[in-house]
Amino acid sequence: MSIVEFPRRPAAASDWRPDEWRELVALFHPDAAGAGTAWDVGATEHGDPQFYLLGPAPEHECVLCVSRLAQGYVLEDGSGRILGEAPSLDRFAEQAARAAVRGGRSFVARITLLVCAIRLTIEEKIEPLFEESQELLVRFAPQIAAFV
Amino acid sequence: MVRSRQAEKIVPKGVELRKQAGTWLQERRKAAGLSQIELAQRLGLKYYTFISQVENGFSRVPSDSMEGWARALGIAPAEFARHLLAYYEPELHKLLFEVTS
Repeated sequence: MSIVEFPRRPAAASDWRPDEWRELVALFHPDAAGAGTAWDVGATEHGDPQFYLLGPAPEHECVLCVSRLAQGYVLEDGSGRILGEAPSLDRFAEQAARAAVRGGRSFVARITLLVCAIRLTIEEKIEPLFEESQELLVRFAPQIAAFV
Repeated sequence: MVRSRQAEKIVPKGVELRKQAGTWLQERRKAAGLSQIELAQRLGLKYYTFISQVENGFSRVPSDSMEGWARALGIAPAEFARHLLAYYEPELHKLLFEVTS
């Protein structure tokens, strides 16, 4: 078997880091954002990466845009209204969700961010509870079994 | 600057026209000697990210800020709006400016 080694493209400053990428795709995956949506990436003139959540075909107009600037992340809608600002993506999603709902933003943005917030809450708060109870079960199951 | 694409491979006409509008706006901004940051400052925007969003062809210049964009770029507002209408609403542009009765 022969292995062809492709040269690796060096990561540019304007690229999303793998950890950011995973978070963005998880947050704004088309399944979460609703059918018919897609995403794309680009960068500002200064090389700041941008992630665009696009609306339904055929127009595929930007619904939400996440940008990473030197001071943190910015979330805007397709009209340039700032929906959220945060130093990290995880805090940002929750903050942006609250801001979007409070500010009476567009329906799609509100739904998308609501989904993000729910997903984040499940990942951060509910999943650890299950893990904890699983650990307890594993620890005490043999002792309980001994009584049965 | 757009480096990869996840949306459909076949680019619909509307998307293509929006990209062209973005390219035109970028050319005009550069011709006016402005950076994205400077244009955002002139438009009173907190960040320059929306300028990039528009120039990359993912969003449109909102109608209510067209005059501001035009003045910042040194273009007559009516001319600016008319030019963008050709990209954003080609059929309407045709009816208004091309079709003769």
